[in-house]
Amino acid sequence: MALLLTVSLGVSAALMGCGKTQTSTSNNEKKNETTQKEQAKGGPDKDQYLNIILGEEPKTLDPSKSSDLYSSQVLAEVMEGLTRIEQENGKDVIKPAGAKTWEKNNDGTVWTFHLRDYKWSDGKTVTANDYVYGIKRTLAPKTGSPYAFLLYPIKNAKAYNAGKAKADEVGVEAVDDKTLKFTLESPCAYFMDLTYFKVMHPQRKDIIEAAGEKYGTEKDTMVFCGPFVISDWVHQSKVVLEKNKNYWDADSVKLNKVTMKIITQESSRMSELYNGGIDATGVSDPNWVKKLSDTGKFNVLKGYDPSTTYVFFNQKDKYFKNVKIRKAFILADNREARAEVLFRGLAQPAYGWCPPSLQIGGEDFRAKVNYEPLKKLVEENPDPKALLVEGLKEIGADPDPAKMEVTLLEAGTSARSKEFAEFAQENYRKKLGINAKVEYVKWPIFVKRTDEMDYQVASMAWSGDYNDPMTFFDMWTTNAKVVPTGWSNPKYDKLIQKAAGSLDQKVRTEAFKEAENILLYEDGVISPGVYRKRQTFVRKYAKNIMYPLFGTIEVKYAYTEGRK
Amino acid sequence: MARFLLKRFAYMLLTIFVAITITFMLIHAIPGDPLSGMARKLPPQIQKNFYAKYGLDKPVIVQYGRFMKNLVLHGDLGESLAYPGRSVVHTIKTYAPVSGRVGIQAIAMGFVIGIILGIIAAFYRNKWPDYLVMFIAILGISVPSFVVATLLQYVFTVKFMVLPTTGWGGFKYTILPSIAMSFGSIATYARYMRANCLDVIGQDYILTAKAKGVSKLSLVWKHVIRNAILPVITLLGPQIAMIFIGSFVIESIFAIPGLGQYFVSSVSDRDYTMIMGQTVFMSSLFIVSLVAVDILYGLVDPRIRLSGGKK
Repeated sequence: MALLLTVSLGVSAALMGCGKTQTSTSNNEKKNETTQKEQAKGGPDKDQYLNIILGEEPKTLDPSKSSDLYSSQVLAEVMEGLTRIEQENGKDVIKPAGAKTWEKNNDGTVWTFHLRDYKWSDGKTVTANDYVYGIKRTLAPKTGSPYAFLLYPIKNAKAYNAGKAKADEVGVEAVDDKTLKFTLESPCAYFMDLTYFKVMHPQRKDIIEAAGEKYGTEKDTMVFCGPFVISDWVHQSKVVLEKNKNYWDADSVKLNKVTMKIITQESSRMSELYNGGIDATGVSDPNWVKKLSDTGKFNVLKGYDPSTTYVFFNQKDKYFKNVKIRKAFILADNREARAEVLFRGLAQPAYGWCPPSLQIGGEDFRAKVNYEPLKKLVEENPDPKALLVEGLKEIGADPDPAKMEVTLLEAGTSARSKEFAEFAQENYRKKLGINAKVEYVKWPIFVKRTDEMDYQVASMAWSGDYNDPMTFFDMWTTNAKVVPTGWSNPKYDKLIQKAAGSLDQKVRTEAFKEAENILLYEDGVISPGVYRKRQTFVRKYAKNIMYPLFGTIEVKYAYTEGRK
Repeated sequence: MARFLLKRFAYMLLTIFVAITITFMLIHAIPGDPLSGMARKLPPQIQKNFYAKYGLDKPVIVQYGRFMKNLVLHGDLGESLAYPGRSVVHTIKTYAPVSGRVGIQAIAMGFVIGIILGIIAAFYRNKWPDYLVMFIAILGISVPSFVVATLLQYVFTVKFMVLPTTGWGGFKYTILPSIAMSFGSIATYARYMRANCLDVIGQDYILTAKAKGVSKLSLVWKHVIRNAILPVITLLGPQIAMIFIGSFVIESIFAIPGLGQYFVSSVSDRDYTMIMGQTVFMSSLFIVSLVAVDILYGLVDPRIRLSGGKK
């Protein structure tokens, strides 16, 4: 069920994105800031506004139709779903929002949410029916929603989306105006992690039907129910938010105005950040890191991005059907250099698949399993070349690696793609003695070629959709067919099924741990490269901006103090 | 004149038709579809629903028929596939003028400065002003506009914070992008104008005029420019057409909401309807501009007759 949000143009995007970070400034640091030269007169500034980056023009703000991160960033601030994703002590926390309270039955298949009394920006009350309408609209086949699959845990959702069930059979109903009830297909341990995402937002039937296909293309077609409303939207230029006076928690919202500038060029963003045109954004270029740090006007927030880069192999290929050959390729990667050089230090070598900071039942998955399959593989095989030769002999090929014909398929034709491919080429040459060729193709062609299994070795990145390891593991099950490798292992499928059907986090953790071991150590299906990190520069006067791991940026509680 | 225009108009329609048809077939022939620009891969059912909604599950020829029908009968170019709900016609109508504004300023600047530099270079042939102008011209042609743009941005918004770095709304936002964009055309016009001027200066009638004692200024104004500018106008026509298309690079550096960004991203997004819309828009503009140049010729140079007439 997992699907990536932002993998398109994968790796290169990591270096430019608007930051997502998890560590927040400690209290001490905060005290220091105020004693600096900008010495605040105390208390927040009179004029409360913030300028931030929106990575690209949102494709549409219709929650049923949008598939990009940028629309999520805007919608998260102008809409109020059942819950909101916030950060506490560097961890993502789900907070009650549209729903005041909720409960589930014993086996976790029925969830009931009790809505608070809150209003749309035009004064009407948000009702449970608005939620039901939104969910069913996303699932309706004729809507053609790209993210409908996230709702598949709901009973009959998948069948309705496929035109095989009626709308009435979908497991969501408004018991009364303030009570929303979900019936799930089976227990879903991460159901709460879907409740803040845009596909679960309430939608206004009357407004949407009046706007028709135009809903979400301009601000005038929409009504809002979140901390802010959109006051201006100039396509490809900016989205301006204004405080929502009708918001139920308006007292917590300090900012009167938030301008999200749409700037796609890295150098332009950096100039804006430097001269004060924007107050916060992700920075990766070492030159700019230095230049900005030297000003002493920024706090630097570092943290993980819920994503892993990886190489995958076509197991229908004459070489890569052999597990030893695949493992040799996995061992050939120099992950430390990859993180340090290729990613300018904004990454961590990946010896597992599921990235750090992803949680299982509120705990860090990586810390909890405390095992990295690739470390074991590396320890047991000090000589990858010997392993490769063994594999070549097994398939009856010429045991001389120099005679292997291997082509790496690289997505993208930019200078950045070239760096990635050449780095891999060099690793395979040095460690395995292979002279691999590279073929550079544009992204849509890359997708087609890999879908048709017309490749040998290719690489991508995967970003999780929700905060549960499932988003990294169910993509490799036999029926998922998300990344075509030709691999299938019933044992793996069973483990994932076990994790999906259970609410016991101990059982699930064990299942994922074993599954990851099969995926990497036993079967050598993919070769994880690095866990990507983010680094965000925030002006010292900008306080309380949150960067949840899942979610983009949260400015509901943000304010400025000491802005000149 | 009327016959000429009518004939050109008929050719124009034919050319546009051919351009549309070829583009349509080509974009459907290249690998990938609008979904592949969105995300890695969506579950099969999701893809099916999406294709059905936008009629992409039908054979290409049926899609082509439907597209032509909407275009000819309703003047409708459909809805963008990458930006659901946005009409292509509306997008072009709204954003072409934005690109146009920057473009016109750039062309005006490029044209005027280029011509003046060209004339100066011609009259001071092989002296230092000539070398200087040609040096600028070579620089202008060989340094890509994005380098100029980034440099200007750095100098005027980071080093000296006098102009806005990015954004749109008011004259000050257009200054840097216009200058960055005009750089290349200043160079082109200067080189053309210089070559043409040199040609004209060598003509007998200039010698005659000089002999008659015509002042230098009026010599340049009445005799040189009028004769030398003709080929430059040939260049100007299509350039004016292109300004509405905008520059992807300049627009993304300065975050200008113009058409240039759509023009490039629609291809990588496989936004079929948007690509077609841009094709229709651009080919029409281009062809109209060629006709306009023909008419301009007649005005500038009486020797050129547009239609048959007396020989």
